[in-house]
Amino acid sequence: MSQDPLDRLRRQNPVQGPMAELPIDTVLNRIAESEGSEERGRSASSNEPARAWRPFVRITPGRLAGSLTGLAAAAVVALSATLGTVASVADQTPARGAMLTIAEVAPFTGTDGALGAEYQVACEGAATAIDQAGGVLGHALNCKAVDTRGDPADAVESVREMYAGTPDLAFVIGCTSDEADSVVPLFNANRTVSFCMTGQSEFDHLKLPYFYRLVPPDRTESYAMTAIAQNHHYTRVALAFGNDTGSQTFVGPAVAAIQDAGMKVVDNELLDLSATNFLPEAESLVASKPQVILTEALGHTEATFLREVKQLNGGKMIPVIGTAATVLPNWFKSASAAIGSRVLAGNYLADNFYTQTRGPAFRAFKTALYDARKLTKIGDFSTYLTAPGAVHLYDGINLAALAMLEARSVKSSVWAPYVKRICNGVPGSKLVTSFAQGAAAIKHGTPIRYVGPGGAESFDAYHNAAAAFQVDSYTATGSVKVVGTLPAREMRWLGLTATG
Amino acid sequence: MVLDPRIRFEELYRAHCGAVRAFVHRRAPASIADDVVADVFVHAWRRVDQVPSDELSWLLGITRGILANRRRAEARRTALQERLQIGAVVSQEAPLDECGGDSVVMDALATLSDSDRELLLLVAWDGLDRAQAARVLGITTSSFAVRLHRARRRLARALEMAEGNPPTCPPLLETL
Repeated sequence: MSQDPLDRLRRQNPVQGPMAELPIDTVLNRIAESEGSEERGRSASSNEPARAWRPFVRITPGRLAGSLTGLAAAAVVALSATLGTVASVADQTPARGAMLTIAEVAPFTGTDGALGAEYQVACEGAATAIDQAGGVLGHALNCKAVDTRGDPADAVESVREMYAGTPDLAFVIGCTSDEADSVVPLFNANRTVSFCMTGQSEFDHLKLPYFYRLVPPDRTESYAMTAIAQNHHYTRVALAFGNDTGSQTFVGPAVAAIQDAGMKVVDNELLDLSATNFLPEAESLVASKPQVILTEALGHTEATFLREVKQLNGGKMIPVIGTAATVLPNWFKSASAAIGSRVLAGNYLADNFYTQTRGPAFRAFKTALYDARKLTKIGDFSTYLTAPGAVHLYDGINLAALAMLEARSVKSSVWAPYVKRICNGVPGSKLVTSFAQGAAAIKHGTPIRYVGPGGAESFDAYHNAAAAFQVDSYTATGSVKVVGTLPAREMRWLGLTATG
Repeated sequence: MVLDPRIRFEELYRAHCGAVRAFVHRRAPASIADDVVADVFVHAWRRVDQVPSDELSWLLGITRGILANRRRAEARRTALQERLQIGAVVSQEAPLDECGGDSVVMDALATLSDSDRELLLLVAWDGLDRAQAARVLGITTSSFAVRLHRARRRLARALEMAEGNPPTCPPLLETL
């Protein structure tokens, strides 16, 4: 017998060489089925030869990107009408025992790729816990990654593929600010419930019955950053935000909030994420003599920019207040490598969405995440226990599953209204902190209010969640520590109203 | 010249369906393998205007993703069915001819990590060269070469260990 292990392995190959091809009609019919809804919209006057399948009408990234520039609330509605419905599956009733799929529509690659991994962990954790508690009306849950690459145009294409390839779709999580304005209208038009991690102002006053967001509007996060700055008695504030959609949504509200709070915006830099150095921007910022920098620029941009700021400022770092998106292991890793971990730890604060770090809801969440480890194998799980995206989407999945139980239906048009009811509670509701607890109470006919590790939240008429903020900082080793909280009343005291 | 996407797709299909099908059958039960193959080409159709020059590696990359999704779903489905005692409808069948003559090497393979196994199988079973296999995994060729070298060494070590133990036929589905 040969000693070369690869040779021995080759001899164990169960299928030597290529196999005969499948009849192509098998695949063509599958394609035709998946594109049926679009096919029905095509003109019958086509000169193309008759076939069992045809290409569907595509929205090309270029065409869509143009239409998305400067998208405002009215445009979101218009886009919804323009795109219309694709193969609607979320409002159908799957057979008992069939799998229900939760689609994680988020960036899994690209600058914001870390978000997808975080959401996937949340999904696997929640789904595992729900399945362990008996599933949802006889259905097990499945998580499916749908990569938007953080690009609104790519996201539309990915969502179309998701609809075509996910006959058992139950609902969607993720939808960050990178892609929400292009995909939420599609979800809503298809009656697909979505739990989104976008704070974009376009959604502040939009009535979308199938849309829920588990994070406060961006402007309130900008207010939280401003409140942190004011608590530290800074008066001269510089802004440095990446040129991606998600980061830029903070700028307008931040400028307004800083001025409302009696402070001054001394510089406002736009950081091109594709650039390799930011010397002009760093020079301009340092020259404006800010006391603090409010920032979000993901990928390697932030690290490079902060290193240049430190260098141009004579080796002394200017304090930084980041958004919740900067409280990520990868962000710490690159930023600390650029300016030094101790310097970063001593000069960094960030607003973050409030999450519990103890109590029954947190313990259930922790158990669920660790139980799901073997399914995801993503990174260091302990970092996700305090990651707001993971925490709040876990809550969203539990809310959805409990809403289905309460409604006794997996049909989205039936269970969607129960999400708000279970999150906000009704008089006499029993407080539950996990899916298992909630399921047991519902079984006995008791109305429930779910309060998960994301804390007590409540949806307003536009399905915006109202929640508190916390203030985070890093230790020199990269651990995140909570150094304060920012209840809504404090922001009101600052003259920064957190509600629309 | 802009090729009609349907013609482009059919060419892609004819050129690679056999290889994709073999790739899937090596890793999944026969009862679902052809379903997975169809899924792969539905995805390929949707991106037919973005097919890179190395078509096969691109298709196998898609295939890996679909197989991974299936495995996660299957794991959860099985767990729930056990809890609900619905009765197993999940296929227990293994890929083709799972218990070949040299079960020692399969025992040894089963002791390796998922990533080591995938590296080795891409070369040994799927017959890909290093550049192709690297593209399937989305890593550089040099990185692949280093990892393959290590995986090969670990397989050799595992074989040495396994040679001393009575060979058993591993449930291949669990190991892939």
